[in-house]
Amino acid sequence: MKRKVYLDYSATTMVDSSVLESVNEIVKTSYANPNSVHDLGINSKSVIDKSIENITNYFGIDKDEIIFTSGSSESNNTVIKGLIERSNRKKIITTYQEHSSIISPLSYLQSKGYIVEFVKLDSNGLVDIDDLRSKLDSNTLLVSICLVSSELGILFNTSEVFEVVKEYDKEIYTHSDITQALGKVKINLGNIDMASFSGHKIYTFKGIGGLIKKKNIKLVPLIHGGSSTTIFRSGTPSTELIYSLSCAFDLFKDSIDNKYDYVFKLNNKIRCYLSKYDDIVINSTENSIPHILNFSIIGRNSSDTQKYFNDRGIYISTKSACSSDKNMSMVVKNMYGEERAISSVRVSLSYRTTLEEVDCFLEVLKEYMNNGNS
Amino acid sequence: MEIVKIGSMTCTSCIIMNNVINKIKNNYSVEVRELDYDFDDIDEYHVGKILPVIIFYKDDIEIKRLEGEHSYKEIEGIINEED
Repeated sequence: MKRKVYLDYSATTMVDSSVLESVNEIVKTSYANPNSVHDLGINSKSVIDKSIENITNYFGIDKDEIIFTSGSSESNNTVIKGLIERSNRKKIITTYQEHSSIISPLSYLQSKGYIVEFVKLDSNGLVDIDDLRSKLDSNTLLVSICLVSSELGILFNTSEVFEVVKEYDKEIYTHSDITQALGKVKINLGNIDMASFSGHKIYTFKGIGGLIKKKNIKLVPLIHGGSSTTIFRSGTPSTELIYSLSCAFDLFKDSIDNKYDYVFKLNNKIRCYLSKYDDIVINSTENSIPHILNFSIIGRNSSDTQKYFNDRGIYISTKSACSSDKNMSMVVKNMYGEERAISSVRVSLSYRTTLEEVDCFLEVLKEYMNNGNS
Repeated sequence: MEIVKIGSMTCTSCIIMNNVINKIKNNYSVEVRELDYDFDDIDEYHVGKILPVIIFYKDDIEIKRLEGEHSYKEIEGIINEED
């Protein structure tokens, strides 16, 4: 049987078997429309209500502060496009490390006359607070900065960033894409008005995610219709997907620290090995979470490296999965230059990654470094 | 002079260069054709690995090509040099 070592957990995760099993039951028993007022509908609604309670308790927010969406891309679009009709302000500040589901709607808004500005990052990839201060003004509508970047895994200084923003002007909206952070690091929503996440990064299905939105914020929905679980996203609520999301939260809510420590050890083992090679440079910074390790093998093309590993049953990525149709990582290019950008690969780890899998990866890496040609 | 700009909605450098090109449009009488990497037919422009691509034409002949991020001053310099 062909070896299969999955090291692309930041692109997506497999559905956990306990989640799948629990959902299987719900699919059979709670199929009625949760908006129906008969007993079966009431049963479905109670499943959703319990799921909402579980998820909102985790974040420490009120039950009406969660909007279920199809995932982070929809959540991000809802924030960016949903805010513009609520204000005359025209400026949005972000970083160049954001996911394409932030960059693309911002690009769209730019074509409609909005001003998009990228805040500078320091050498560790953190937001340069002085530069942020210089960009804030009375025209600023939104500051959107992810908690963890998808390509380099940088854990941004969002607490400081959003505190500075709110101190400057409480009317500026703050948003964070927490997709790559959820289930990996503890999340303090603090000064964050809105946050986006996806279920498929935390061992449940693709097609379900959330947008946390503080109560006082009025967004124009992307999808108008009935009231669903909230008026901000219509469509018959998917009881099974919402329940699956809640089950996925149970997988990590009491064990984040242990899981983090384990992944840290795996990351450290790989980093130690990489340090033996002069032509390997690590692109993830000291502020990156251990789950994402981005590095460049100088002189070797990213796609060739990815293919070499793929042909040997090891699955890594050249960039974040949602941008792999372009030729090089612009995130790495912006930070380190073209040479590192065209040779960068991303290994993303999980608490499910075994030591044997890491050894397997390192063995293939050794082969690749020794002979190089596939 | 005509400028062809090829960008993509998913590209951060394109957002930065849109600001630069918009400023050029306001200050110079150059014709700017904006094409999208993902939606438009751009085969004839032989786009490489880096976006955006900005191609300068004079009398229908390509005289200069830039890739990625460049300053307003640099683009202004190319326009002034050719005019």
